Formats: sequence, structure tokens, C-alpha cells
Amino acid sequence: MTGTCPECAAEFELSGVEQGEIVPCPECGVELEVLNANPVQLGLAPEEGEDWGE
Amino acid sequence: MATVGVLCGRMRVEEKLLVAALAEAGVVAEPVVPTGLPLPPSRHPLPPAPAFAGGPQTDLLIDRFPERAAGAALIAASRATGSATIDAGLAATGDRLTVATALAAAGVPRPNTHFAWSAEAALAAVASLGYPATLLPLAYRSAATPLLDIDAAEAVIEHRAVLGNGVETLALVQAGVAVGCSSCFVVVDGEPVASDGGPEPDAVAPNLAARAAHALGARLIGVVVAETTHGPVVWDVQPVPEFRHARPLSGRPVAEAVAAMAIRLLKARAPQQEPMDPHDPRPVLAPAGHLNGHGNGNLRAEAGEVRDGVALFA
Ligand SMILES: [Zn+2]
Repeated sequence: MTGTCPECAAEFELSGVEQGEIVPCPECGVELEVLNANPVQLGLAPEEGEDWGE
Repeated sequence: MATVGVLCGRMRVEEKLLVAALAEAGVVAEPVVPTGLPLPPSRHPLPPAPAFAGGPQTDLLIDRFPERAAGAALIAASRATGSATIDAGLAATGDRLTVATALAAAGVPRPNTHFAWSAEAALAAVASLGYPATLLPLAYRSAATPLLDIDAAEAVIEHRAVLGNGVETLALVQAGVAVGCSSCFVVVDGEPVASDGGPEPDAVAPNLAARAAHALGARLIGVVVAETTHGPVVWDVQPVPEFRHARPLSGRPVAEAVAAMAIRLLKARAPQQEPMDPHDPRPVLAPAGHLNGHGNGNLRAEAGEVRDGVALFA
């Protein structure tokens, strides 16, 4: 299964990931959250300390 | 051969597009990802920042660094070594208050705005401006929050005050909301090149974006223009605009426009780098590596950059 990094558009192989898991993008290094495991959908992992109640 | 750096935290789609467009134009650009070295405490172009050994060593640095306090120090360090920079001008080195002040001083139409330095001041500002209003934290990395009614305003402002340990209450409060009535224009080298909105009915909004970029001395910037009942206003700016989905206004993509500007700036710099004296290969540029280096070299490098910026819009 392949996923696409929403930050750098790199496509990379992912296997055995579960929804909610955090994986680093092998190309740009950003932390990605597995939003959906099958088919794989990736989003930027929420940064810590950024919640100001918005 | 000229060294071009793309200052970034990581290579995202935008940075890849820039490197590809530069390569297409015959210029090799490398990502410049800062090391863990601390930076000299200067973020303003004048007075000149001291040359800094840990800073980027390039002929031209394109500022795409998401964290603005560090980005500002890094471009100042880069200019101190004599590098030209492509950045958002005052928006690259300042915060939302600096930018709002400069735009107002230049007569650029803006929404009614108050600067709130405490939770009480923010609530008083919203009460005076009326609802809806928008809270824009001073730091560009923090997103704007619409305040639709008094309950939302109290909840958001007090939450920020408590969780943000006071610092996050420093914000602009602007009348109205920009959601659904604004477009972000990417202005490159004085020209509005692309927008995230639909086709423009006329040139009013793009021209306003270009005027804002000019007032800020920006070579690459995103300018958010909102439609109000009093006409378009400059709502906010983006020092490091995203443009992967931006629609070109006249056929030329953003990355291509930036590459063209890079070539222009490198050509303008070329005579400066001709050795004036065979014993002194680069007399105009300050030597890197001296935190309290010779001011003259730095001043000349900085002044050249400022002249360059003025010439850009002349
Ligand atoms: Zn990536």
C-alpha cells in the first residue's frame, strides 16, 4: 500500500499501519497521522502546544 | 557559479516547485535547513546584523522558513554575509502589528483594527468594533480566530490568556471576518502572480495586493484581500505563502516568477562580485565568522540590498 505525504507530495510504501498511528514521511520528515488505514489516507499530525481554543 | 539557497524547515511541495523552476532556468538551488546553532540577536535589516559563521552562505537566499522569529534572524545573518534575499520584507522580519502599522502608514486600506495587549483589552476591542470580529495573534504562525458573538469572544480570549500564559493575548482585533469573502494573492517581484480565489472581476484586488507588497518591501509574499462593504481591504499577509494550488493570474506559475526574479537579482549582483583588486577577491562583502565583524562591510552589503529593494519597485 502506498501513501502520499500532504506536505511534500512524496509517495511511499506503508504496510501494517493502523488508524491513528503517527508515521514520519521518509522524504521530508514531517510527522504524519494515519487518518484511514485502508485505503491509506495521511494527514499532518497535530502539533503539540498549538491548541488555543480555536 | 552562483549559490542559491532555499531556506526551509523541510522541502514541502512549494520548495520543490521552486527548486525545479530554478533548475529549469539553469540555476542550481539547494535547500538550506538551519543547524542547531544559536543565532545573533538581530532580525531587522538595519542596523546591519553582524556576519555569522553559522548563517547561510549563499549568493541568494529564498526565505521559506515557517518559524518567523528564526527566519528573520537567519535572513538577517544571510544578508550580513552579502547575500541577496527573496523574502516578504517587513512581514519577514516583523509581526502582525509591525505589518498593520506599516500598511496603515502607507495608506493601504485596512479593516478597523485594535491592538490588544491583554484579555481585557481584547474584549474591549471587540465590544467597540462589534460582532463579528477576528482575533489575529501577533505571531504569523498562529491562525486567526473569528469571534462571532460575545460568548465565543470571551471563551477564545480567556482560553488564550490562561493557556498562553499571557503571551498569546497579544493580538490584533479586526472588524469583520474574512471567511468566504477573501482571496490570497501571491505577489512576486511587485506583480500579483496567482491567487487562491476564483477569477477576478477587475484588477482592484490584485493591485491592492501589489500595493501592500510594495509598502512592505516584499519580494515574495501572500496578501489576503477581503471584500467589505467599504471596498477591498488588506486583511492579512502570509510571509511564507503556500501556492501549490494557486491559480496563475496571467499564465505564469509562482515558482517560475520567483525563478525569473532570482535570475534578475543574480545578474544585478554579478558586477559587485568582479574582483576590484586581484589581491582582494571580494572587497565589497563582509567576511563571515565575526560576530562583531567590521561594520562597514556589513553596512555596504545591507545598503546594497536596500537599494536593490527600492529599485525593484521604482
Ligand atoms: Zn513529506
